[in-house]
Amino acid sequence: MIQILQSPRSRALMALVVLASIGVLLAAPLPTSQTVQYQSGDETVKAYLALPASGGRHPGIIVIHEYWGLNDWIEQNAQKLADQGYVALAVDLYRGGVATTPGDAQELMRSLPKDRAVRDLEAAFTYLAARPDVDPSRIGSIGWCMGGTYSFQVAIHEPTLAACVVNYGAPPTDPADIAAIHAPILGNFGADDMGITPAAVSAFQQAAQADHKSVDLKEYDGAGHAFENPNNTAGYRPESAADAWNRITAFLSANLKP
Amino acid sequence: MLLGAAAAPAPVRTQIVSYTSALENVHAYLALPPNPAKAMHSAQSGRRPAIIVIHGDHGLDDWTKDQARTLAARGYVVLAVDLYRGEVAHDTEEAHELMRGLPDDRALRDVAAAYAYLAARPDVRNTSIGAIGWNMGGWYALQLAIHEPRLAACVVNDSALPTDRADIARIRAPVLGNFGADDRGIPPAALSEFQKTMQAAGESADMKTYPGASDGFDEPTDSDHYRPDAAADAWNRTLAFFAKTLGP
Repeated sequence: MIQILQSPRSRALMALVVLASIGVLLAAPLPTSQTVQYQSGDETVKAYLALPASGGRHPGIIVIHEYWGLNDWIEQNAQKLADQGYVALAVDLYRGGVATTPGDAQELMRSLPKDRAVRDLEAAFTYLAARPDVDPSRIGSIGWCMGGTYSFQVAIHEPTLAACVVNYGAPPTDPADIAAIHAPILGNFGADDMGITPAAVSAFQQAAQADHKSVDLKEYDGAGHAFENPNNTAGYRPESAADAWNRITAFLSANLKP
Repeated sequence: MLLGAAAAPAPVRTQIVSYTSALENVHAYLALPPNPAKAMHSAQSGRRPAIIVIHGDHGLDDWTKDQARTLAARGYVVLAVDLYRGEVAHDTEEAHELMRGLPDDRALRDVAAAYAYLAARPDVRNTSIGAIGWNMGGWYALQLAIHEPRLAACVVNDSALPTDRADIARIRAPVLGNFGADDRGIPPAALSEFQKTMQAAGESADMKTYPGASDGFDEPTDSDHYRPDAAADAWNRTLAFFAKTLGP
């Protein structure tokens, strides 16, 4: 290789190849992310938007954070979904609050008015549906932990939601709420989760299936709460997390992609 | 000569009771006020005001049961609900898992069932039933106030406040709130918004903020946050409020 580069002609050729590559990279539109604003009730709220690389219309996804708030990990997940071709809107239910200690996160979660959170999520759906680069008939939701519980709420409140992913969020028990769900649901749960037991998940599965709802719920043995987040050093289960992500990818593609 | 013997104060009696919440059987911790002195043959001696005690994110723990007993000693029939259906958190992580796992619709049903249970008791004056909650429990106390127009009083401590104006307008119970000024999640604006909406609907909301305190300021077991002076003041406000709204 070194010998080839010795000649002026070869060096010129290398330079041309490098310049051409840079040109190709600059010409292709790169995935973008930005902060967007929209109305929720009387208020203006912000969210993190990640866009796919290509133009045209795409399916959309509402991405709902854990009890830590809208942090880096959630933004990364939004970006991963954008890379797969979804317009991903990561909402900020805490309106700017982000916690780094469990005590602070718990305080933020306890203080979040549920009616405001649901309003913000409905506003997020409306915002995505109105975007020219989103197909309103192909909008889904995904959430983890507290966000998983809210992902169920989006399905309950939005009859045209096209897919709902819940990672260790509390399933509804009210038959009227279950009846209101039309989106197919994918759920990933840790079998050792103290707050959401396999019995609770199975009760939901039975009630949902009795009402002819499409639910695909998986319990991961040896996993507890928040097993999909690598920052959860004690609870992270890499293989289960990878499996859950594969399920999510396949489910979203099957239900949201044309 | 027999002087009136100073009787030892009659103890508060406690028991676990069960009742139906939708199609399920649930348990709760009942604390009964000391029996009225036998000498008092009041026609009203049978019925007392009652209070629903709604625990915070740690569940129906010893501290919450202690609050229930303290209220019972003041003459109330007290029912401390168990929204976690038997689970109690030992640390913040468990409190998080339990709270996040609690189905909201089930909690609302359980609280409504608690009201119905008390209202049906022959020893309760059903026009004088109030509710008190701490952090997560306060949210459910206010939800009960929204859905149960007969609730006669509502006390919340460091709780999220509803923001939906139509919901708030349904509240009939006077509301008392105690908040830590340093509470990260509940800004002063949220309190004043709630208070304004209540007042616009002709309802009363007495919200007090304690400077230098945040959530947990009233819990002696919460060593980081406990503020004894603020806690005592909040408790005095609470007792005075229940005495005024629920009567003896």
